[in-house]
Amino acid sequence: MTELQSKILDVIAETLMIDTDDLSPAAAMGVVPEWTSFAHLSLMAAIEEAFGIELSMDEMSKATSLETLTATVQAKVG
Amino acid sequence: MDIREQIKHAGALLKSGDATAGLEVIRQVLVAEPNHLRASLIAAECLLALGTKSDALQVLSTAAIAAPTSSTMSAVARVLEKRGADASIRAAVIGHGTLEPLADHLCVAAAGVGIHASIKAGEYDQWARELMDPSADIWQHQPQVVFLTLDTATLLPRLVDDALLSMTSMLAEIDDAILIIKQMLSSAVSAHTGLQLVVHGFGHCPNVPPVVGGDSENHPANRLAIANQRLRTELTSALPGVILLDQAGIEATVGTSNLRDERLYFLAGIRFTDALMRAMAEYQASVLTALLGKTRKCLVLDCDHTLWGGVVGEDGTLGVHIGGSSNPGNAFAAFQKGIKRLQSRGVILAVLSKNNEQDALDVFQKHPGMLLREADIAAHRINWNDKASNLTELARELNIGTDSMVFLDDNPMERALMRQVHPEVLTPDLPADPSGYAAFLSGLRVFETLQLTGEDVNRTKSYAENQQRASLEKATAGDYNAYLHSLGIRVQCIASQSASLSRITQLINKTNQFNATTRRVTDAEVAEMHASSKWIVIETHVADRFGDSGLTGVAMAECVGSVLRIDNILLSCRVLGRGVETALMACIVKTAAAHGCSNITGQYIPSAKNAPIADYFEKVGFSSISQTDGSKCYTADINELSKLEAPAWISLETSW
Repeated sequence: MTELQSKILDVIAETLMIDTDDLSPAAAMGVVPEWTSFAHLSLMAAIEEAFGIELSMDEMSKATSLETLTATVQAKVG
Repeated sequence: MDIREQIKHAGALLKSGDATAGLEVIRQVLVAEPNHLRASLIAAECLLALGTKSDALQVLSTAAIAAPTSSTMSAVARVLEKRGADASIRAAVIGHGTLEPLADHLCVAAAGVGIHASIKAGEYDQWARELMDPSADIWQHQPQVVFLTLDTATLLPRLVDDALLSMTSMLAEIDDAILIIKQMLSSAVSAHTGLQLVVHGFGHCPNVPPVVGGDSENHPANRLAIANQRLRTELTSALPGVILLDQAGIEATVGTSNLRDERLYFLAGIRFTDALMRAMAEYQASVLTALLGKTRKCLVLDCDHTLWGGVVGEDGTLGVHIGGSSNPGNAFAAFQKGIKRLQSRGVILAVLSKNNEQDALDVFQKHPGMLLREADIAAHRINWNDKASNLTELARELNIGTDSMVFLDDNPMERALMRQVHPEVLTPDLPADPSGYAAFLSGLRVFETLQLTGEDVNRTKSYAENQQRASLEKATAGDYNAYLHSLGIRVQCIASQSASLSRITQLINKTNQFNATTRRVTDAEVAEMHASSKWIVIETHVADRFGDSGLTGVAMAECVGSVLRIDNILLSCRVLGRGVETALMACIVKTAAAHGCSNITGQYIPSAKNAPIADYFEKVGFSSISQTDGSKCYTADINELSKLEAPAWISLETSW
């Protein structure tokens, strides 16, 4: 796991108040019970703060799985 | 173990039921990273599990202040929910848009001022249905207070969008919208007895370009002001119990360019930024404070480095810095001006200082830069005793509870002592720099009353008059009767007047000591009793040669067949000890006779503070008939009470 991936897992775990162990690579909104559409907004705000980036509305609405979220953040931080 | 491992470990310990061990582990994390959110939440959960609620609240509010974002609020609110079902108040937040984040902010803001509030968010845009339909979800929560926040652009589209709209058409649009709001609110008021409604006024509409120059009538700000003015006028006349919050003013405190996060608005219908929600929640929490009768009444002030710069004992009377146009005297003057502003709203001022008494008083009397003078100070303790015991004495002298006091002192040691001995006294940290004092004071939102009544404004004066009464009492020492006769007390017990209803509600909710049941009421309930032919509400006015204390007593009673049931009876502590309570009962007896009742019943429910009324019913001639958990029920035959008269030193006037 890259440092970036591990940091994303940390932010998700902290925002959703769960353990990183509970997050499989397939983790996504709706798959993880705590990852509700509402919690997703908090998660996006937390990701922005943790990585010092700004996500567009489109990016926010698409980054609803660990996979897409990681790709989005990866692209932003370069 | 790194921090992540430690947090996981602590969480596991908490889950397994060992909160003590969990707390031990998580404390180490918090030492390394004091504001770590997840760690703070686990610490709070451990503390809750161990039954130390106030410590848990402390940890949570520190975490919330460190990062006041929606995600923090939501997480903190979830932990706050674990406090259990004994909420001191239940409320709902309804209106346009997504309201859950605002509900979370309110839950946290209320906890910050010591209120355990259970908050339910209404559904997206469902406010109208929720107000009209008693089977809507929010009512299952049984809210005592409902906050309504509406979107200006939705309700007043032409006002917002049409720059050339005529004044006539604009007023028509405003009045149509207000009519709808009024109908919805009335429907909720009649379906839910005792419900307190709080309406946020019309707020600014984002993305409206400013109008520079030109016709002022068409300025967006002017239009908004007109809409809000009409809303206030209409609601006040049609639904007098409804509280209106100045939404545009709240928005101004965070800046009108910071009203909403456009992404969250378009993505999820969240109409406010975190900063704005936090400001709104603070206003809402101060409404809850006032409704629960937790408003602070008295500001207790230190002198050196607090009211003025320097130390009078060292720098001399005229050597301390206060007033003038240079710093720090100007900053202290601004602070004193802020204090006087609070005084004009009825806050009592007291001075508590370690000094030679005359040294400090000299500054009040002789320094040309002082705004506060001796007459502004209702009571003082200036000596070398410890401040905690001095504060107890001040409370006794002013006849108020220590829990209605706020203590301001620049010295952290004095603050620590006060917090330890008197945790019920609000002892906030003053900013380190005096230039921040005035702004800090105006942000201290604990003195709010919902309506400023004449009695509030006269209160400080009234306390000063009490001091004069006390010195007369000393002069006629040994003969208390002669003293009472010399006061020339006039008591008026009359049927409640429409104009007095807000003061009556306020008195019922603020009086703690001489209050038989400490049952709190809403404006709506009082209005209902006032209008009902079965209820008798008596307002009591007290005056003497030193001044008019105004409306300072209330009795409410219900005619049930041949029985007059006293629901509650209470007097402000300012008029206690002068026989007014006997006069009031004499009036109730007359009223009962006038209504053809043959029996009077009463009830006493003990609280932490109402011992002064504990033996009242027995004293005036009632017999106790039952007792459970300290609560007592009383009854008396009206013939037995007919001899009851107001004391000889009181001239009593009644409507009956």
